[in-house]
Amino acid sequence: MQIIIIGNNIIDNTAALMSANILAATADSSVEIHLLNDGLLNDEKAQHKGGLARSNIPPLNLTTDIATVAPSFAACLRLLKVSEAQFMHECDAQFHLGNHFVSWGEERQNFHHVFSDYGVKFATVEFLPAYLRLLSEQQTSNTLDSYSLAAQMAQRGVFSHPSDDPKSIRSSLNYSWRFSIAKFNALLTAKLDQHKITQHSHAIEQKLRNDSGDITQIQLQNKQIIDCDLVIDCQGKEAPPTQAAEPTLHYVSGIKPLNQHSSVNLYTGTQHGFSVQCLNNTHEQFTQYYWSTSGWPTSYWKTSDSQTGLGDNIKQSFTQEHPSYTAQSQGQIELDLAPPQWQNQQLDLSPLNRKSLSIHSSHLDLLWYTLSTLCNITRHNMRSTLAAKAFNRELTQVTTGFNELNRLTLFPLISGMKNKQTKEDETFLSKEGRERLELFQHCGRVLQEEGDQFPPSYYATLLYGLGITPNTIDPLAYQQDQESLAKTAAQLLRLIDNACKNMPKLS
Amino acid sequence: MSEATPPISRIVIAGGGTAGWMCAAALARVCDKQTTQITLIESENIGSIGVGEATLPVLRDFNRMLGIDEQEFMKATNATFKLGIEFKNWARQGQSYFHPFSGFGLSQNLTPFHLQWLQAHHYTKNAQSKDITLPNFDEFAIVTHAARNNKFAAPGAGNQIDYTYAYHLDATAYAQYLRRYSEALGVVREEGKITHVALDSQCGNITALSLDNGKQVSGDLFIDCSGFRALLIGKVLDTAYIDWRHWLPCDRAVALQTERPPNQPLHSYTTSTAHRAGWQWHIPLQHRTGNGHVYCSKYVSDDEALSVLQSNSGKAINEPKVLHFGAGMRQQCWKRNCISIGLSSGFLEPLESTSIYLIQFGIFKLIELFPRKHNFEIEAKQYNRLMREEYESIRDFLIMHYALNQHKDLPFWADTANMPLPVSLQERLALFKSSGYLPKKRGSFGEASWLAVLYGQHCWPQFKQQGLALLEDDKLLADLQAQHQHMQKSTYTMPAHSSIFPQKPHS
Repeated sequence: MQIIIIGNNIIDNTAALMSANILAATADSSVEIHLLNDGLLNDEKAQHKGGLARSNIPPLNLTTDIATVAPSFAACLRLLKVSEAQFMHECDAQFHLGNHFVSWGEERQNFHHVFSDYGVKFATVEFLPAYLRLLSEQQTSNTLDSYSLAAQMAQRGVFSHPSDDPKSIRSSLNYSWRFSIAKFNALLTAKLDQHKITQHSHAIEQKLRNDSGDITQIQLQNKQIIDCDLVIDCQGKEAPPTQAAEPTLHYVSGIKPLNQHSSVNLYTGTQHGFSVQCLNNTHEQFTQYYWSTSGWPTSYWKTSDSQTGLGDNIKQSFTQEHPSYTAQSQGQIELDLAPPQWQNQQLDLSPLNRKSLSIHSSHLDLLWYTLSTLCNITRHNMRSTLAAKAFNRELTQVTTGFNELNRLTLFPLISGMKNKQTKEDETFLSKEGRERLELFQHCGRVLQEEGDQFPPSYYATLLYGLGITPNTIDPLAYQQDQESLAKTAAQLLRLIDNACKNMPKLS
Repeated sequence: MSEATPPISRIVIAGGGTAGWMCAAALARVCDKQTTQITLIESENIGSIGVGEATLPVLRDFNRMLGIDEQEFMKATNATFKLGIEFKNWARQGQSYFHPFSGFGLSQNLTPFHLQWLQAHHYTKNAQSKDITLPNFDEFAIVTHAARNNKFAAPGAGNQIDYTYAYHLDATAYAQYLRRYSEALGVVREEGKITHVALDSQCGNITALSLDNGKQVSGDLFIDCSGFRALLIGKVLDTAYIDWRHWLPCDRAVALQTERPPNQPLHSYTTSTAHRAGWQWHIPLQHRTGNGHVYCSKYVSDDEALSVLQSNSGKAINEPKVLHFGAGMRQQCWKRNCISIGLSSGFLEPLESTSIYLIQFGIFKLIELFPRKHNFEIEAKQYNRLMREEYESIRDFLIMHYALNQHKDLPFWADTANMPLPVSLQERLALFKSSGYLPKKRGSFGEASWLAVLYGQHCWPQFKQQGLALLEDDKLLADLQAQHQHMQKSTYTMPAHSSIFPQKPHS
């Protein structure tokens, strides 16, 4: 059983390094994994195939190479047998408790959006409806953030791990990390030998196929031939050789075909945009998203996180597709994250790194999800076309779910909030997204849907943070009398305060 | 937030029985007593079907939500513990398999247990020595061993392997128990038959129900628990019924209560035995046994069905009762201000004990989407979608039991094995056979339940040895045998189920 992973610039290619190591960590010793370094991408090669040469990309003010991930990434580290201590030490990692949205939308909302639960659950009701009731009855003037342990921890610069004791308020805590992607790549590179992954430095000369179109062998420029059962392409869209050799591969949108209605006009009207601030070497535990109305590109490019897809990726795509762009023209940026395709035994992981707009997840989260799904699906039979179909369907569902969440977050960009739904909004949100928004606007509820990677409370607090106030309060929030509800809320504030006081300072 | 929309203050439940009183109890528990009045209308002259004497583990969540003490509940309903279902003669005559309320074995190196078992099975089948054997798939659940030895212990008491349990109960006694519970919380019971339903001439909402004693009960929200009669949702609101009889052709059942057999072990599981044109249930309670024969009237007469039931049951303590039904569900379970719960919303044969579960699911979703008075449309849309998904998911699971049978010589079974399947099920089975992968599916039955039936009825993935993970055969076999032994041993100290519920006379 042989798996070939093709990448270029291997030492910088997180997709290739993660693929190799994760497959090796889960596969039996009878599975051979080959990592092919198809060479450094050079301008000539890229331009020849219609790609964007690196030297043509205007210099960006990139301050960091930081990756942020969702809490589910912990399973990836466990599989790789990397302890948190080792990871934090070797990858310059910091704790990451959520996102901080600053001056978001026309309403200029400021709010933290955390991975953990807000408050406590009141019988059958989540905290948010109970909080809304207290607010409407003037029993509290505190912000929702005050009832979030994670938000309070971040504001006070303290941190402590979640507690196993279900009675402790710290048991509701959830967190992830922000870390140096270059150092993470170095850690993964060091693991290649440990996992007995065979590395090849010669470029690919040709791919040999059987009658059904499956790639069965790859011949390298040194004439070496490697048999393969599965090929994983991690070269990225800017790697034209693979694109040219694989015309059947194409990008698909989780929602609609690219370049059609899925494109979003980011720059109409007030030329809204937003930038991402990832501060390295600080004790900030949130990734900050700054909304900007000063037009692009100055603020847009102010800082960038290569992993969140908001910097070079979008600019690259944009300048590539709209070379005559001026501040006055209305360019279109593709926001959809293209799920990978698995066709003819070839799995293309490269789109994950392209044209993705990631606020609530990074391409690493999706990469981890992709690889763990791949491992699950191919454990028994790598050559099942039905498995490939199922794989594509599941990934489409998950990427659509992430996209939908991102689109909801960007909703104020389009609608200017306040429930003004225009024709443009209808193309921005999918039917499911619109229904989710409609239900929340109507009664403040969010239902768990297939493809959701976060619990309903994550969506509800985001929508509330974005300034969407439900028309009615959940009737079940009234099952407790006002006095005891207010008492519980006050007690919660004290608990949070005490918990924070007992935590060590990050500094 | 608009407070101009008044809350629901009058809830009217049409019909008692299990559905009606479960609904009343749950709503009384979560609604504010001061502001919400709940009225239940039932007539002593209309008997209740007393659906579903066997339940699923989630009923424990329902009881927990009500704050019910388990011992008190079991005493009041003559309940026994249920660890799963034994299917006799379903795949082939003379063969049995167990569907436990637990998972199977331990996954290793991220390889699901069932694929390890499959590899070991392949190895033992081709082994030279007859001494190399592998226990059946269903024996890799501690629950199977406990059930087959008529034992029971609550999970967590020193057992390393997780499992759960449900109950066998007297549904009529459960309804009576919940009636007392509900009335204590202020639910008003009105005795009488519904003779007229008043509708709002403008919006078509139900406004009041007239009773044969001259009373009129007005309400804001009406819950139809009138059983198969579907008095409100069907007869008055004229909601169409989606017919699934072409997939689930059994259309009748004859039920018979028998004495608890003296000096015999008390089963801690439900038994389902396939007959010539249907199947028979056997549900042991503390004081009696529930028996029933579900059959297809096209292939077997009522007399023959009764005779088969009588010859396979103990000493009868009541007259047999014949029920007529058709598998399917309402096009809309929530229409205008009326929600149908229980048999008025749909029917799926009790092969996997889903009748009470579907009532509970409907109640939980109603609570999750509890409306305000002014507009039900948005909640109804979501509720109907969720109910449809749940019904369809269970429907597919039930159809699979028939579709995988191998009784080629019996017309009913041959026809059900050859019937065209719903596309959703067709695709799921094809994927599993090809790759051994079962995509996650929302609904009451998780992967382990599907595997229990698939492996139990000999629908296994093709063994191609082309997977990512193949373990060393002899080591794998040794490991599985050790697991099996551990599971067997774990049940040694469990008490006999009959020692928990000693024989008592029928009342």
